[in-house]
Amino acid sequence: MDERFDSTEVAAAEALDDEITIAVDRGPAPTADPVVVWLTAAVRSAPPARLAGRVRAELARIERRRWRPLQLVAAALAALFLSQGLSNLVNGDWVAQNLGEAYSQHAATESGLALLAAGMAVAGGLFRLSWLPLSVAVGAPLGLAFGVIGIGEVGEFTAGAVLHLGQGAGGVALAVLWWRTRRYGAAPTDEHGA
Amino acid sequence: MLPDLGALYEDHAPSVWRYARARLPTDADAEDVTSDVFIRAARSTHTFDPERGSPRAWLMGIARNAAADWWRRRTPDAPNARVPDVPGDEDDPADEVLRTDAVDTLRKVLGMLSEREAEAIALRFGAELSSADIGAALGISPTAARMLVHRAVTRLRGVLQDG
Repeated sequence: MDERFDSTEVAAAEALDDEITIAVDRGPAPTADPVVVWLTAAVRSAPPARLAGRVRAELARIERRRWRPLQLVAAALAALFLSQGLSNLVNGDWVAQNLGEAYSQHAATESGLALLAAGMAVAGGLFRLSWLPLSVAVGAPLGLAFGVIGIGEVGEFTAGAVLHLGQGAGGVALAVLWWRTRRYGAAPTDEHGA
Repeated sequence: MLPDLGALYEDHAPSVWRYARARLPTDADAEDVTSDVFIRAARSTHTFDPERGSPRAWLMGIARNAAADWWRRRTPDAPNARVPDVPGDEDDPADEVLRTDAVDTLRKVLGMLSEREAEAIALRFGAELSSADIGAALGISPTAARMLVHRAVTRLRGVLQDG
């Protein structure tokens, strides 16, 4: 295609291109082509300030929507941890009885409190997008660990198996959604709100 | 990976805005399209491939599509809307060129070029893309892009001199 161009015209085009590059980068040279000077000046203006506000609001809305599925999974997983924690505090003896284990109030109380703390940490991402990494860091490994425990409870303690397999699924979903959402975008920040 | 969308706006909004200003009849339309470009970009971050071009070139591809869509939506209702009337002394182009809001004149004279020439001018002076990036955007070689800009500038010189 280039062969069809006249070499003189190509040289003139290259000289003009250099002149334009200087004009847009550093401002036109005093000896610049008047049309280049005019074209450079004609379009050069900053976007209106209100446009930045408008775009930021739209981007924040899109960003919040982008993280919404992860927040929903975090909410479900947090609910499971919190309910298990409460169950350990209130019905620890019933859990031990169903598992055929000796009940220890001390262990049940402390594990119940730990689970409530874990549930609240996982729920944190619902209130601040910047806390979502904490939700994932706590929820994904803990959910997976309980999921493995849940496999052993199948056929032994139905309620426990359902709870732990649900936590396992939640942990996997949290990790996968985090990876997918982060893959093509930046980390969540509070700039976008909850 | 793309930088944060907020940073992307800070870095490239002027280029997108200037391109849109050159390609659309009013600043209000340019605002709509510029906003649309960044919304489209936010929804299609997965299409950015750093091996295929810079973030600016990627954004300008989106901007070209957004501007084309704007005209596609607009054309059935206003077939003659491409070149708006410019108030001022039509007999004295030198004064007109010196007007503070020279972009109105630019819009008018770009309407006298071919679509491809007008696009090349908007990309070179508005978006401040290099000839190589313009060539990639238009599917031509960098030399052909330089020639297109050169011919467009030559034609504009004639248009401005003739008034």
